[in-house]
Amino acid sequence: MTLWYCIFAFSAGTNASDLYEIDRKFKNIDCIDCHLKTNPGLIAGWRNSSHSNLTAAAKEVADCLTCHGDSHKGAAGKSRKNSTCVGCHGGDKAPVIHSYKSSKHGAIMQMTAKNIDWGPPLKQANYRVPGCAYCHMYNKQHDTRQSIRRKKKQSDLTQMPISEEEQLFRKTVGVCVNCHALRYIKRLFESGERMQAIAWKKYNEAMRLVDDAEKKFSRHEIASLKTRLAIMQQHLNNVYLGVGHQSPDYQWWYGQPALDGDLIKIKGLITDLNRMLNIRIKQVE
Amino acid sequence: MEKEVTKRWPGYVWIPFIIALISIPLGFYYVNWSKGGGGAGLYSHEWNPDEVFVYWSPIDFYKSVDTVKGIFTGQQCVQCHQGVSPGIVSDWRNSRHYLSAQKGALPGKARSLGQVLETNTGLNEKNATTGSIVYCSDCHGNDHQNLHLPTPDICANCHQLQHSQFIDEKRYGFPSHALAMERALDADHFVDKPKAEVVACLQCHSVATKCDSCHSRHLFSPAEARRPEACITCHSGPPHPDDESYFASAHGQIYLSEGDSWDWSKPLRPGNYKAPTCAYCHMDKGKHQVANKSIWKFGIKQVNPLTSGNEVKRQQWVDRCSECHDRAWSIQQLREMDNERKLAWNKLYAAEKIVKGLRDDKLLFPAAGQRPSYPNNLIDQYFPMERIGFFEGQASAFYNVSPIERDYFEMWYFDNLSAYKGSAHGDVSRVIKSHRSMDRDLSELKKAAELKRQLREKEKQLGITPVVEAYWNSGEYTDYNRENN
Repeated sequence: MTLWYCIFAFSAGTNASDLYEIDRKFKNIDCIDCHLKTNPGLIAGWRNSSHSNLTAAAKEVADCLTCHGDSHKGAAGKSRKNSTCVGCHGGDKAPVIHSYKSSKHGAIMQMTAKNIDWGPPLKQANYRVPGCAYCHMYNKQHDTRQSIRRKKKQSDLTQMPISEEEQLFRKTVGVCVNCHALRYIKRLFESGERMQAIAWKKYNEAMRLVDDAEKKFSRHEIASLKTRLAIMQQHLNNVYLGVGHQSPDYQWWYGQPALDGDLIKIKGLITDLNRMLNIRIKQVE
Repeated sequence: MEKEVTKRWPGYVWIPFIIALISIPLGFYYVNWSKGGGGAGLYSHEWNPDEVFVYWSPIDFYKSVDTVKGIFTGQQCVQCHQGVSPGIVSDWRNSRHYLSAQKGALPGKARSLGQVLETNTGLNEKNATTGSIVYCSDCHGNDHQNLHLPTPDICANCHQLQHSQFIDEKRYGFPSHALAMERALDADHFVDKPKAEVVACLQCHSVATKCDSCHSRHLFSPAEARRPEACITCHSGPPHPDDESYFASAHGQIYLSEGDSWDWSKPLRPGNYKAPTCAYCHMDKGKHQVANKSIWKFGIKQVNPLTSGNEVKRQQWVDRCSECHDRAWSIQQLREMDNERKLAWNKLYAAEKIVKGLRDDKLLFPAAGQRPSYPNNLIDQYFPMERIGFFEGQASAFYNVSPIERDYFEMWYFDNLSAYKGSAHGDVSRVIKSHRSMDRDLSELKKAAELKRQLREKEKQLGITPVVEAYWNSGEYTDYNRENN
């Protein structure tokens, strides 16, 4: 049916803007049928993205309608707004959103959001500040894994092949350079890597201690250590988000000093366990 | 004979004079020398900056890019950067720096930028060329190999009044926007930590070194700077949740629901806004100085809110509040805050007493001397001592400590300061929540202290001397921190 509709529309010499005027309620399959012909790149990109490739954590596929709504009118503009992303990505208080909101980009966005014209495409500094989609889906990139994205794994920080590193940097530069100087982006990028590497050092130090403790103590005894290590992973992620979204608070108060505290507390818990163990040994003797 | 004695001063009188004569210039020389190292600030010889510091403290570190040669006019800058970095050019085109020369673009009856400045600042602006565009080169310079990042001094060429108000803040001491950078650079823990880690600090403390922390570049819009969001990038997070406490208050709720429809081009004067924002209360009528009214300041030490100086500040606050509220009611609100602070400090002192009690009984484990020493402190290396609370200088070491000291730090810095901001900004539920957290912190500290005492008691009975394991002084990060600060 949709196919026929498209064929009819094109054979009748209708151009794209006319199509927008012929509006009705669409289903996801309708969108895909038609857009596979008009812009297959978008569909292919989306299919590659985590929006369509389900991970265990995601319950539902984010399909065309999730972001664009079910009508043609304003479908593009609607999807460009931050509010489109926030709902699924944990809400305003989730670190991934809050780290953006507490950045300068996010702060300016909050002040100006109501007066923004979401019509222009997401490229070439058409917006005063970038929203989520401006960076993560730059220039219609529907494969969110392909647009700007910072590496997260520790091994990536040290062992990423230079070509990949270069590629990642280029993708980032391509977006940021609309507003910022190349040298500035490069320095921020590299400094961010160094900051993340330091955060990983804290985590590694703690993890090694917990590993050693695991050999020495029962599962019950080290339960609180494991909990603290899990909290540490969140703080580690905060540093990553702080660097990516340029939020000083996520780099610092939710990140580095929080990791310092975790490390001290893990050392303290292990020390207490050791002291109690020594007491038990002596008592048995 | 007697006459002679009264006439002559004994020889030893000259000793202090001579000592002063030598030590005063020597002191000046030393301070001067200490600021001349690779880093910046008092401990500049102890550290070298991370590359990215150039943007946060441009006065100290910025050097222009040398890939483009030549001397350019303002128009040429715009022509080229329109292609290279369109975002900043379009921002600038929407700014008053550009619009000043366009007809009908200026507010009110002003016909030129000079007039705008005159009405804004009350000064006769000789420096501003009337009716002309403020180009890139006016602030950045025109030699591309010798460009600069505009510091407040450069903005002061036209915005004299605002700059002088901003600088005037220094006389009120910390905390202060104008002193923020030195505060960071001279902090022991800043010097002690790897520089790539403390990059985060400078991003906010750079409020002292550049005006675009609040007037974001390249629009520099006063309307934007008046809104609370202009402040939240720095005034957020556990020790200063100004954003959350304000937005949750009645003031903040009104702002959130209606703020978008207010006319933000209006100055921060009584009657112009339905609810106050950060700047409305803290920057009297737009004055670029926020420290004059602060009574409790950062909140990390107890102050006497009833001194004559603080009574003057209180009057200023009451004047501000009573622009909308009843005077007696406003006074009552501030008294309630005094009571809340007193209650919080009672809890903090109780906690401090517990930790100090452990120190007295030599129960802090690992003790000072058994763990990395206090940052940047020579005396501490020879006479190690655990520092507890504000007056002993704990604020600069929240990581080279034992777990129980860190717990106290968290109660003091996070829950206490959260309660403080809640009561200052009128977020009642935060006050209740934070005090509940402080109660819990206190009882957990008691429990932990009791555990430490029991452990030591048993160890004594069994003749065990607890060993400080190697991991307190080494490990992937601990080693890195020692070697790379």
